[in-house]
Amino acid sequence: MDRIRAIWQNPAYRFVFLFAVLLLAEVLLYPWATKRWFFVIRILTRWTAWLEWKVCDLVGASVSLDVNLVTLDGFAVRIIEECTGIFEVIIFAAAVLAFPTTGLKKLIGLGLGVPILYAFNVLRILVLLVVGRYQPSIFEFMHLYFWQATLILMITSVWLLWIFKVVRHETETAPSIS
Amino acid sequence: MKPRPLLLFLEFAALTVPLTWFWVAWAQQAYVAFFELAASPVLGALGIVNVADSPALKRFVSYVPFVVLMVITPRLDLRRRLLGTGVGLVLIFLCHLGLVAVEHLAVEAATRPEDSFSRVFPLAMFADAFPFILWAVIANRFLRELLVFAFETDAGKSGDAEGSEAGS
Repeated sequence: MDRIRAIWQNPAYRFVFLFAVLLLAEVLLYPWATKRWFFVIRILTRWTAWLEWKVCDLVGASVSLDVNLVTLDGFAVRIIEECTGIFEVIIFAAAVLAFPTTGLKKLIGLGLGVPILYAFNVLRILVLLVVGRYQPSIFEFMHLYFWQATLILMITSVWLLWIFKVVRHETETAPSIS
Repeated sequence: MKPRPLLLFLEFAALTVPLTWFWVAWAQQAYVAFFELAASPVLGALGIVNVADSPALKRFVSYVPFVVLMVITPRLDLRRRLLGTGVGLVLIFLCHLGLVAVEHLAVEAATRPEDSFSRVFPLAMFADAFPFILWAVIANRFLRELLVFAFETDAGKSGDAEGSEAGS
């Protein structure tokens, strides 16, 4: 019992435990929610596809859009649920909510972090579009690198940024830790 | 000691690029062959013939971020680093096995593609976060330093955060 209490008193273990519990809750809720409100995912995938198309179009690239299929000069990418950055957001949200700080700081973390992660994701797909069109031989590497290998990096970077700039900054200005 | 996130970020990027390249060029194929052999009793019982066709294959690269995190984490003693990496690799293998099995069962049971996705989703999500969870448990001391650093006030700076607890 004392050992369990000692583990629980370690803030790092407590964070990991809360993170895992929140992540589990989110991933169990997500399929239910998307089944009920699938139109949100449809809007998100189409909006992401439109955004990719718009950015390419703005720089004068030969690009076309067909619902959620973006074609850059003959190289096509279909934007699916996993391309919307929703996975990153779910993990990030669990990490922010599990961190021991005030509700307001968590809200700031989510409010700033989610758009940053989404922007990262849009940039990632743009890079993949360009690589797929001009360097198809390294497309598989880039796809894996900018997805699975750097997924943790993307999330932890934004999470650390939040800790250093929001949680710590406000702690420094506050008279004491509650 | 103050954590240096930018340095860690650069180290992570510098190591993941060659390792992912190595994974795509050679290790992925070798790992699939090893996986099919090592997990053959489970795969055989489920009727899975070819893992190379599994959508879970693209998540097998999760070894890369885990190994890199274990390598770059500062002030982790060698024994914990090596032992943690070894245990982590075994656990990631088991995670991959679970993912392949669930994916196979979900695809077989589903009548619509979106149904199989919702069944696979929780485990796929877990598999994505798993290297981070493993690292956070093994390198909990570094994480604790980070927590202490986050809550360290100007007035209460200790210089060395090790050993102290974060206020929460």
